[in-house]
Amino acid sequence: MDYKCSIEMKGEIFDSLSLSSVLDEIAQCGCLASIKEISMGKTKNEDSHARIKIRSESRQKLDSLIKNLQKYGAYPASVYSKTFEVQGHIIDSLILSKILDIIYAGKARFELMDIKIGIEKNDFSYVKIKVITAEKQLLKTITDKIVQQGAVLID
Amino acid sequence: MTAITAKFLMCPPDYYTNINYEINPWMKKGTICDNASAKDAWEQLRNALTSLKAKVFTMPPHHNQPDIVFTANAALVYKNTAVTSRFRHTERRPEEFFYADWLKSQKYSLEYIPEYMSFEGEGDALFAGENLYSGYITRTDIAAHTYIAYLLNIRIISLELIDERFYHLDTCFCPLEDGYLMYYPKAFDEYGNRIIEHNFHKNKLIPVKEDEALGFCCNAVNIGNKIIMNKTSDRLKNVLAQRDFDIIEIDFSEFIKAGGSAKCLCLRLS
Repeated sequence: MDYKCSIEMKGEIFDSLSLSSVLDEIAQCGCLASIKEISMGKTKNEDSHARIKIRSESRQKLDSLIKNLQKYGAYPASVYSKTFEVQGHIIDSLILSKILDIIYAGKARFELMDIKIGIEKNDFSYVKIKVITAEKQLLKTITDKIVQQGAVLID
Repeated sequence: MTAITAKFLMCPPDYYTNINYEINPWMKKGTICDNASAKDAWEQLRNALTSLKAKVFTMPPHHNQPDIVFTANAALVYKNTAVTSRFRHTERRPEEFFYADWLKSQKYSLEYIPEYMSFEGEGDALFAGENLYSGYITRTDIAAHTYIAYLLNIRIISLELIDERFYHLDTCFCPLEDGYLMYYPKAFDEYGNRIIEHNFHKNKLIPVKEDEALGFCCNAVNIGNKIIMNKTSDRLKNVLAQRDFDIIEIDFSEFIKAGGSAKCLCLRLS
């Protein structure tokens, strides 16, 4: 399942059964769906929201599926990401914990792309981390905070 | 011959007069500093250090650089190496040359922080046991910690300072003899407090109250069981006395107008 795409849905996705229709269509297509974010509107006027990651073995199948899902109000999600490196005594100083907490608190996701833990007392530890979020401004806010904690932007 | 207990660098406050700029919350432009009282306090500090068998070196002051008296910000000295400061504020940057010049004259091997990093010397870097504890955010960048750790091959524990009144580590963190630490917990975030509690034995922690911290009690110089500090509360004096520390109180109020006290006025060379 090498081909991936995230879609977003917003509105009355439960009442209208559009969410379940989207999941059905993904399954019928032979693709995999995982719900990354879901929130239900608490009042009649409040939108519900879902973000679904779709994985497929075929690029063509995935593209065709994404086009079909638009009739249910599902569109490709905007995703913003940046990759950082952090090194130093980041374990002993709890810097790594702090950076991950900042990302969590910002409701963003991360991927630990590389990690090396120093063995000796004076050894540095190293982490390469990708921060992923659906909102550009949020990514900027998180970037500013983790750069203050010693993270270096590399991509 | 009596052994020297410690070595310090001080700079006399000949040009320490009025507050002409504001680079920390303690400073108010236009405040008049009583130069005679400042000189008297400075002399008392020097005499206290020499009475404790410390060797005190002095460097010449410079007009237009009143904060040059705060020599703790000159550098971090480790064995024969001096990692010189790079001040965050332009008002103090000219001091970098004078400090480096003096350290070079004393045959220290100088290391310079890259231009894009800020580091304010021993004001933000204090040894305790095997670790160097270093403050960051207000005046020093955490990137400087990694750079210095690599340069000196030492372990640096980074502590974020979250109260702008305690803008240098040495205003809220004071390692003492025999593994004790006098500190103001609210100057640190939860991570910093966890680190402190993990690295110091709980019986060796001496947390201070806000009014004591605002009196710069943590900006103290410790040699053996003697602690030289600004006038402080009876409570703290009793707490320290119970741990066999003797306090030498000096009125540093003229220097506090610029945001410094006992520790700021001397750079430890040993």
